[in-house]
Amino acid sequence: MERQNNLSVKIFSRVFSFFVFLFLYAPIVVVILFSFNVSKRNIVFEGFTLKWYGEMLNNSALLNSFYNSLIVAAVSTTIAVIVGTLAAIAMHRYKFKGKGIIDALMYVPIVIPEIVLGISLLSSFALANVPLGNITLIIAHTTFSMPFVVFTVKARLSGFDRSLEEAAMDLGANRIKVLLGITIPIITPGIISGAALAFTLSIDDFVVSFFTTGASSVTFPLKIMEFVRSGIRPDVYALSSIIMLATFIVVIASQVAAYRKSKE
Amino acid sequence: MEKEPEPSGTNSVIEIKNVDKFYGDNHIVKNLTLSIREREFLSILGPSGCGKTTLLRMLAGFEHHTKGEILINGESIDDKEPFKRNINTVFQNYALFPHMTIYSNIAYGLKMKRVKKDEIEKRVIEVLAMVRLEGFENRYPSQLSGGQKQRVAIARAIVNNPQVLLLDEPLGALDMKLRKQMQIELKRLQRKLGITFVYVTHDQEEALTMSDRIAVMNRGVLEQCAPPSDIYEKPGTKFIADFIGESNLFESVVEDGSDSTDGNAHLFSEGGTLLGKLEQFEENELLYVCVRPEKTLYSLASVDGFSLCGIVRENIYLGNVIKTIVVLTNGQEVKINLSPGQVPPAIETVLYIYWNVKDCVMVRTISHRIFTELEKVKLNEYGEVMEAEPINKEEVKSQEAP
Ligand SMILES: Nc1ncnc2c1ncn2[C@@H]1O[C@H](COP(=O)(O)OP(=O)(O)OP(=O)(O)O)[C@@H](O)[C@H]1O
Ligand SMILES: [Mg+2]
Repeated sequence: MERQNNLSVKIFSRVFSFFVFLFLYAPIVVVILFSFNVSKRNIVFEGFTLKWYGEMLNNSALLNSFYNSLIVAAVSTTIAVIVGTLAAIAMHRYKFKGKGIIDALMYVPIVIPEIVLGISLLSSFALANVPLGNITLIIAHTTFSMPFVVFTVKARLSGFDRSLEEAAMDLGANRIKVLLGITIPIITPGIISGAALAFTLSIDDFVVSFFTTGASSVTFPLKIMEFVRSGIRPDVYALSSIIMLATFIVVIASQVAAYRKSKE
Repeated sequence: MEKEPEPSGTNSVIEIKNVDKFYGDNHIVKNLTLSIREREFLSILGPSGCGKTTLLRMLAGFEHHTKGEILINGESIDDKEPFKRNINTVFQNYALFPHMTIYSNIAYGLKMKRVKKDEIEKRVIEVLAMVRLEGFENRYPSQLSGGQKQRVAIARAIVNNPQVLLLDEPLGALDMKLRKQMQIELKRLQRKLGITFVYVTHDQEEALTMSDRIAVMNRGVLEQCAPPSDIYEKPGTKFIADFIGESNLFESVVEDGSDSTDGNAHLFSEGGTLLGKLEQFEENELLYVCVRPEKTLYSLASVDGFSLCGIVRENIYLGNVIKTIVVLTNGQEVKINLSPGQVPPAIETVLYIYWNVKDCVMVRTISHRIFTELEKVKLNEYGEVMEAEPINKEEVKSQEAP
């Protein structure tokens, strides 16, 4: 009886996880599959080809938008990581008036609907008379990704032993040296995962970018949206497949790096 | 062969003068005055929460005292940041840098002082040998045992050749055997290097065996600072008599102080009359006669001046001593230590407790002393203090504010 029960639980959990994975990965597999499809209309698979990968390399609008996305993501991630890390350290260390409120306010960009964030950023830029373009895109992306850096770094700091900083100071290190030589290296795993989050959020953001960019700068998700209107072509699938592969590699690498760091 | 132990000097390195420390409204260290001497091994002993760590942190520079003065080599430390003091600390939890090898951990202080690379290497190797950790250079702290981490923490501090080394319960996390071994090694190192050690512990045995002097703290007050033998044999307060070693304490009042004929003080306690040392007594003063169990005697007939009658409750064999517990008529338990050769009195024997007057110590409580002082304070007709000044917290607070 017992054993039978166990067996049915086992079978059920296998089947269940199979469907979960199917649900998660089937669309991705479809995209990769159709990037090799001979036919332009992606309804049936008519044969294997690499020509869309070649075509993709000639589609300069698509490539440029991707290139622009990379720049925006890199710059906004860098700013978010620097400011977010320092903010997290300050918020962890010092007690000041209104600290609780600032802590709570940090959640706002995370929980607020993206469309509201996009509209409010747009109206702020309009009010301040900032022309829409890459600058506004970068500011917007920094806004929504910085809280994530703050949270991952703060989580790491909560396990950080303050006496390490005191020990360093005791040995003659001034505050800057303590920060650069002791605090930052120890919280690096938190910074790495924060940066990875910020970068991926920026790369695939559509809603906020839609509101905060001008004609001069187009990001990859925006460009794809444009194509969709006129019917998707397999060269978009090709680039998507490459991005997916790259993301996969980056995620694995950052996980391994964070794991190694935390084991030290 | 090791160098002759250098005697601890008489010049003071650190002067703590009337220091008070408040955390908010909590008075943590109270009017503490202490001078720490060159090359001495000073232990700070006291129960948990009495302010030992706080005192040490003020010396290291991690906390600021609220009131009073701390001098290092005659200079005020008020605006000396921790990294500008020639003092190093061994932390209770070691605080080794987890992302650095043992070598880099130990070299850190020298690197901060911009010592040349080959000089650093020479000194790190030397100090590693001193703490017997040769060959551990490339390991990380997580790959060491507790005792080894402990020694790295000590090496990291002494490699800087500080004038004063502060140690906060450095052996707290070690097992008994390792602890004993490390005690010996620490003492050996201290003599060899001639560094002043300020050593916080709440293990009295450790303090008694290692120190040149012991400072006993209780609730933020420094009760006494003296060599171990004095602390044990001439405890200055009731708290110390109770805290250090075992003792029998008899709460008593003076029966006749001034006109004693036999040179002893005749005292009253709840359990009966007893004799103590003749001193300056205040009228109706409450004091405690302290007698160590090994100096406590008994007889079957009453002894002149004593009427402490009791009944034997228990004899406990502890190998090197036999402990006899006697209950007095007022319920107080008296401990008597007998050497193994002696035959202990049978249980339920009725007997009388006494001692040689030279073996007892008369102690008072600190608060009692304060009350006696307060009685001397004269008030004017408006009830204001005319001479002495009691501690004024308002004043302390106003100094704290920038
Ligand atoms: N940062 C702080 N803020 C407020 N109170 C504190 C702070 N640090 C310590 N205290 C209080 O000061 C008192 C003395 O603490 P301290 O750490 O000096 O004790 P200790 O003698 O070292 O005790 P232990 O033997 O347990 O280590 C305690 O009552 C503690 O609660
Ligand atoms: Mg402590």
